[in-house]
Amino acid sequence: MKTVAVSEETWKRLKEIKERMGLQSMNDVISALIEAWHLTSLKEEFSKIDIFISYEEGLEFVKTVRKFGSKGFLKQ
Amino acid sequence: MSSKIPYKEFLADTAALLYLYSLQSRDLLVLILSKFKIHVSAISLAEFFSFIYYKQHEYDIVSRFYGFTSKTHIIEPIDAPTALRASMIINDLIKHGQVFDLVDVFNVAVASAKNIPILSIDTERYQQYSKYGVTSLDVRDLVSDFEVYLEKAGSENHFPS
Repeated sequence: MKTVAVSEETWKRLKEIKERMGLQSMNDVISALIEAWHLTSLKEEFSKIDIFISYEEGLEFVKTVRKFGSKGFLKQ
Repeated sequence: MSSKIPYKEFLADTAALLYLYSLQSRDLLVLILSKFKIHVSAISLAEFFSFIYYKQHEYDIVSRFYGFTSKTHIIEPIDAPTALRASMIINDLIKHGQVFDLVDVFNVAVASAKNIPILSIDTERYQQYSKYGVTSLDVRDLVSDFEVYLEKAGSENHFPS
């Protein structure tokens, strides 16, 4: 276990989060905050990628890939 | 998490990958990607990205998309141990006169080495590989089960998404 020093104000806010989330320890609070941050940054990153994927079209494409991609081995 | 699905790690095949990335809700996809470890073989990734290149001609967008997928998935290489495992499976299939697909065999080789189930749309196609210790799960079941889990957890959800 490692120790983290926080200000009085941050400590109060962490305690509030701990209570509201019904968590057992400050370790759980920090883990939950990290998870939430991770999620938010993933969402943010993904929202910047302007890409639309049609499932049906994708399946058709892969079917074509497999068909075109099996040319066979050496000519007789 | 207390989802019905007993696994946390999967290998998504090409169809499963297409399904996940075509989900209407991007938030749902991000939640799934953060709750489960979804491995992808290099060979399925190649098929998936050939479609992305086909649809999206702006290299910058494709490159950013690749940055996202490489960060959120575990990309499984077709390395020497995988090749060796695949060759053993192919030999066995040939001996039994079974028709197979090479991409499937590589995915099966990765899944069996990692001991994780394969996520697919067509779980039946993996039945012939069950003797190599590989199970498969319908990606639609995973998504719908996860949605139910989210609804239940909604009241206790501490961080609005």
